[in-house]
Amino acid sequence: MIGTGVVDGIAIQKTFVFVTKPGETGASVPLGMKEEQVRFAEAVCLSKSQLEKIVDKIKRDAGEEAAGILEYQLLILEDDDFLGKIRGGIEAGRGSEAAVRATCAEYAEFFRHVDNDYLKQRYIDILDIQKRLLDALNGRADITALGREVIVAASDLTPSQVAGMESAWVKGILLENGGASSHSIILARSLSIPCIIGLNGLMDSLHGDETVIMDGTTGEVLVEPSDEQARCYREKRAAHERDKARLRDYIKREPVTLDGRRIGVYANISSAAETAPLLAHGGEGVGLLRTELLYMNFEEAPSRETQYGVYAGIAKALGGRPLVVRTLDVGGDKHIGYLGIEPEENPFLGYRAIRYCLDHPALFREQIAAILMAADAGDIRVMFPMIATVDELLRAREIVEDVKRELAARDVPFREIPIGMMVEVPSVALMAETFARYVDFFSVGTNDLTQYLFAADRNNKKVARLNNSFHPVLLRCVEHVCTAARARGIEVEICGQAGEAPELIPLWVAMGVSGLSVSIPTLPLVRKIVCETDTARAKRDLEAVLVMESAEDVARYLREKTQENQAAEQESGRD
Amino acid sequence: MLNVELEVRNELGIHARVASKITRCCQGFASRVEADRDGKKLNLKNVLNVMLLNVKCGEMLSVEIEGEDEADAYAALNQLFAEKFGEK
Repeated sequence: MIGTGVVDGIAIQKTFVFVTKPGETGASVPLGMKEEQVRFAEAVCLSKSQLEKIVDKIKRDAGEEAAGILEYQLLILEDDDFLGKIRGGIEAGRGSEAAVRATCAEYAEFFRHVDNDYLKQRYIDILDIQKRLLDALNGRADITALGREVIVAASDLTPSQVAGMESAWVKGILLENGGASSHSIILARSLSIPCIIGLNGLMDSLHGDETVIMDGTTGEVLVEPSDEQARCYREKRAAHERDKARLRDYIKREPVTLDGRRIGVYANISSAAETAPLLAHGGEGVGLLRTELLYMNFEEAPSRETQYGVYAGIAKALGGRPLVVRTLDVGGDKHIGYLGIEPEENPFLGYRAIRYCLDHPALFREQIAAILMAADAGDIRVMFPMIATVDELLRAREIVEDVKRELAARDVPFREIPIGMMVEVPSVALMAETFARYVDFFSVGTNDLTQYLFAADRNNKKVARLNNSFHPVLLRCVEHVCTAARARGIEVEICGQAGEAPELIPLWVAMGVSGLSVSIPTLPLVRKIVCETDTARAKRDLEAVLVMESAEDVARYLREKTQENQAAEQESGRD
Repeated sequence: MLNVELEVRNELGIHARVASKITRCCQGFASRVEADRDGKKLNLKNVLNVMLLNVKCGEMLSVEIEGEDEADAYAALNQLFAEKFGEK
């Protein structure tokens, strides 16, 4: 099988087939009966292994007796009558969730009606089991609970599902669908989990527990490989590890170009857990903190205190390095149930990010307040996503000012912070001069900017090829943004995937960006490329590619130039 | 097939931990182990059945055991009940 490799790395491991419904809660339309049966079986299996792990831990820490109730719950998951009723519901055409709910409701009623005060209370175990099963069905389950190393195979995964995985156990991700720059993939990259997408027929060919070799660089997947194949890939994996080791020198070396220009190399993160790997890989701060996952982890919008804790915690962990917090970018491919955003035909063109936040000032103000309050803990900056008009920007700024007045009136300590915006809507790129008057910095989100320039959904694999960040149109847009920013004396950073493409980095430097915010695993490579960049040479290349006609032309030109330069270096090394 | 009467003698009667012990004990044998409660036969290898028997201290439980290892199963169950499931 071959798909599109989106996160590098080789993995050889048993599969774990993760059957979830597209979308989030999956409460609505059931899939086919067979698929529901598999989903339910997987959910029971996952729930049991979670409970077993917890029971073991409690027994170790607190003794046999303490684990009593959980051992009892574990037995419920082996109760044939109970499971049989749920399976019966699925056979009768119900979705797994509906069948679980119906059976649990039935048993909870049994307990409530027993004439025994102790037993009456035990309906609570049934509710616990219901929650655990529903969570497992919807992939909110913690895959770490599997307690073994796996390659996860799924039709698609939501960002929160990926976030719930622990890279220590998940050695690879195979997706039947998925787009190269979807947020799930971005997260997988951050966690350094090799990933391949667009694997047609994947879910029909895997049932779980097959041994699979995957190569995230080439997109190749081998099911039940021969010993010879496995040996060959183990060698390849070792070579890959050696390459990574070679880049390690650059983690400590200052990212300065050959002609002495200092470029900031930052990382994009979504959670506090990523700060340690960020620092270990040579990140000089956070160029983009996505706050959506923080909202996704709760059943309701997190309070300003909760958010304050997260932002201040990350800022402290960064030890004075910059932290750019992007306000809530909900919508698009990031769905948060409790916000009540209706499903839309074109979510990427719909009600998302700043558009939603400006309509919900109470929610927005909580986040702004938390960011302002956290500013004391480090070098915090804020930026707004999806700004399309000057009016939106001014309204967002006015809310920040208003929150400051509120905090001052209540004597809550806060700090003045730089305010920036994402450049990801073409209207902004074209009118960058105007926007530059009202912000302290720009951050170019190349993923969204590219998809909007080409009107091609980045999660739709049929049009994914249109989203090519080597295209001259994207380069021209960013060049224009940089020129406009320079005229106003404000800084530009790149925070999309194009910011870490080795061939493009010299071009961004030539345009005059001050920093690149990239995924954590690529930090050492990005630092290396910066160190090897000669701005004058890059400017000549930039001039040449800006007038080209296609992404392919640009890619070919840059590839040839790289080879020429390498050859020249080897030549000079020999002298 | 054995038809036996077992007395629940611990103070708290059958609760979650006791139900788990009874279930695990029954699952250890190939024999069918069923309790008779209000004319209904309940498989004691399923923990929710054991819980919902709603048996209190001092009450008797009629149990039917059938299978090759029925004598061993009975001996194990009898001991478990006699030891008050390790409780008071």
